[in-house]
Amino acid sequence: MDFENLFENAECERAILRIAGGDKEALKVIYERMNRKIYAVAYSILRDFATADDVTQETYVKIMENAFSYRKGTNARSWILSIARNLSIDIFRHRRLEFSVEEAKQDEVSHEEGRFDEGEVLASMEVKRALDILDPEERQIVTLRVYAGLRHREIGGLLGITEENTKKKYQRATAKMRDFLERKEAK
Amino acid sequence: MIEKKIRDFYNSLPVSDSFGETQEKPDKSSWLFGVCGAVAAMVALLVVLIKACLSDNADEDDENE
Repeated sequence: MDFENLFENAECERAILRIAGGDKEALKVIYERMNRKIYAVAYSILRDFATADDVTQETYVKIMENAFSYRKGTNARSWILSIARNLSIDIFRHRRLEFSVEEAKQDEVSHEEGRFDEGEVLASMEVKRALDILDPEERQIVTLRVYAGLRHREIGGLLGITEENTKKKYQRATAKMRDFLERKEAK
Repeated sequence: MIEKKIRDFYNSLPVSDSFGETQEKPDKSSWLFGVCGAVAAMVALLVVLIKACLSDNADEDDENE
C-alpha cells in the first residue's frame, strides 16, 4: 500500500471511530476520501449509473448504523467498500438488473452531457464498453485494484478468493480490456 | 495505459453529492498540499534562523576586530 493509501486508510479509520462515538460530522471525511471509490465499486457490479448512485447514498447510512461494529486495526477502506459491495450485490440479486440497449443508450447520453471534449467522451465510452465485456468478478477486481487502490490480498479478502487468484484474474481482465481497446482503435 | 484509462473513466462519471450538490473532480491529495506547505514553512524558518546566526557571527567578528 502506498503512502497515500495508508494515510487514507488511517483517516477513514479515525472517522469511523468518531462516528461510532456519535460524531456524525466525521462522515464528511469518509465522503471526501471514498465517495468516488464507493460509487465505482457499486457501478462495477450494477453497471447502472443511477442505481450505483443510490447504493453510494445507502452506503453512508450503513456506515452510520454499523460504525460501532468496526474493529480498530482492521482495514477501514476495505470495510467501507465491502458495505458498498454487499449492498450492490443485494440490489443486483433482487432486481436482476438487465441492462437493456435502451437504458445503455440513455446512460451514454447522460454521461456525455457532463462532458465537453468529444474525443474524451468517445474514449470514455470505449473504456465503459471494455469494462462491460468483463465478467462481474473481473470488473470488481479491476475497479478495486485500479480505482480504489486496494492490494490483491485485500481484494481477495473482499471477494473470498486467494491473492494469487486475484492477481491472475486481474492480469486476464486487463489483457482482455487492452485487446478490446486495441481492436477498436484499429478499426 | 489501461489503468489510466480506467481511472479517467471513473473520474469522469457525474457522481451525485450526498450533501446536495454535484461533485466535481475528485479531491486529489489535498493533504499533499498541506504537507508541502508545512515543509515549505519549515524551510523558510530554517533559512531565517541561519541568516540570523550568520549575521550575529559577522557582528561578533566585527567587534573582535
